[in-house]
Amino acid sequence: MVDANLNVDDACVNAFNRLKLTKDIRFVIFKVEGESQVIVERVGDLASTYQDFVSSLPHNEPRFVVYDYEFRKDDGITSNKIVFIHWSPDNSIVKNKMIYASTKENLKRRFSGIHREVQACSVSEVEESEIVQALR
Amino acid sequence: MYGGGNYYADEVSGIVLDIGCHLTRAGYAGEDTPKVVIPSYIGMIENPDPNQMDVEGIAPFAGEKIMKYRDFMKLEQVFAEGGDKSEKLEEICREAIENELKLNPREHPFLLSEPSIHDRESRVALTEMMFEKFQIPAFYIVKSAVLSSFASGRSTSLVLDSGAYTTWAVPVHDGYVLQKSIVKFNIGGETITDVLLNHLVSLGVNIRPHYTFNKTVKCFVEGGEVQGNPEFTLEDIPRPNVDPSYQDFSIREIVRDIKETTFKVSDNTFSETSFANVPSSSYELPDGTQVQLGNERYRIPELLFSSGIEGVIGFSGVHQMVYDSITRCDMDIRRELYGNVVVTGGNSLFGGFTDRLHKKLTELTTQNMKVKLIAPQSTIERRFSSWIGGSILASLGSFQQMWMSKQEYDEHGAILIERKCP
Repeated sequence: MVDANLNVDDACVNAFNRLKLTKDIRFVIFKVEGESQVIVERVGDLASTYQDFVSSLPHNEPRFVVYDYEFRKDDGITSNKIVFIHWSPDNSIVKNKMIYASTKENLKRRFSGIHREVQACSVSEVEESEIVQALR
Repeated sequence: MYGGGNYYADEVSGIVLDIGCHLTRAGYAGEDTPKVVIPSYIGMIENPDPNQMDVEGIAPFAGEKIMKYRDFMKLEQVFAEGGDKSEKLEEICREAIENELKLNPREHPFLLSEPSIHDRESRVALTEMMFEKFQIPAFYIVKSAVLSSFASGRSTSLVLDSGAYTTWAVPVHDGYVLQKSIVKFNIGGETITDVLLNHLVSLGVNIRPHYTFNKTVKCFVEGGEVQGNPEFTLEDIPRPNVDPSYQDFSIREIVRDIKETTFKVSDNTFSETSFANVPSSSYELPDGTQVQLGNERYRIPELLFSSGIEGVIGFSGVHQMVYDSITRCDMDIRRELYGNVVVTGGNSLFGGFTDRLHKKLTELTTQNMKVKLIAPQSTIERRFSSWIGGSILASLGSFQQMWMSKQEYDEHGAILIERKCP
């Protein structure tokens, strides 16, 4: 696996564990800073909606996201699943596309308990229905 | 110090080398495009006459030096079937590194792209060549489809790479090539050039390469202004000692240009009746002769989407290659692959290629399957996508720890490349 070998800030794993274990946040957005390390850019509180999350994604720069998606199963019971999203909009510059794509596995493998992964390269690919479909 | 866990400060630039069947690209990591793009051919003169010694030295020749006419010079493709490739490979690398980039390979780490089918023997041989023959300090090798996929921002995609001699459909999943699902055919841009060449010959067109004539232009000037049309005169230069391979290479350069400037992929399946009235396009050959091209402008590239290529058994279109490759992959990832078809390679640059591919793929798949093609608009990105990906990767400060260093090579041998660059 080709790996750009960026440093991953400890805060990234801490934020993921908070989402997974403490369960007091809805999502975490990670960004690559200075072409050298992955940091936490933003944490979404429990009250935030899926739309809040989508509108905080930049339209021309990639990001990584973990989202704790809550949904009601057919039997009426609510359930939570963690989705990893590789946001890579097609109008990003090629350098950023390359850096994020060659960093994704490095970041993702530090998070245990990811249920599904979504690669989204346009706004339509990050719509809520896509997440629902991925979780099926 | 490179790799091996020792952090290397980013002082010198890495060099990225992409040796294709038709073109070799080389340049500095961090730059947007390769500085050097030369044909992957070597010119040889057997038993050169010492009295006619060339100012540029003796064979082998490569790069710009093969473009110049030389008596008895034979051109060989670096990757030609049969024969020993290693010498030619070394020669083309030497040309790119020492003569064109004009740098000392001992001072720069090298990142190479390799074909997507994993070939342990070739990559070990390449590693050995770079460390032994060029004494490089550090090395890395990446599969071409992975670089193209990453450069398009995707760690999972289906890369359709149509080059000069080969077309590949390569599924990449989480950064790994799914080896068993690769589909490869020996067709490409040069297949189309072949067909056009045969067509022109059958029409009786005489394609005269640049070295067979001198062209002079005469025009009348009166009061500082050109009067009337300029007159061209051609003077034949007899070349009894031209090697057939050089003649063929030179003619194909012209035919390739005709193809690139006039050919288009049609929106729908080609038929003589529906294309009876397409306006013809004219092309001026180097000697001034005009060639008229009618519906063959559409008929010939149609071969890329049909099963009519002579001598290529089992091929029924590039769209079918994508379909077959995805069908060989696990059910769970097919949707994602169809939604991320990365189109690259010079042969995909025909006008209408991606639209037609999209249409044909949509016809092949089930109704609810979304097909999305990713094809950079810029010709440069499409032709050099894997070089560009390598250039970015090798320029990152954090990547400098990933190289296989000379010290590691000396300690463990070339086979370590299998572990360093899995």
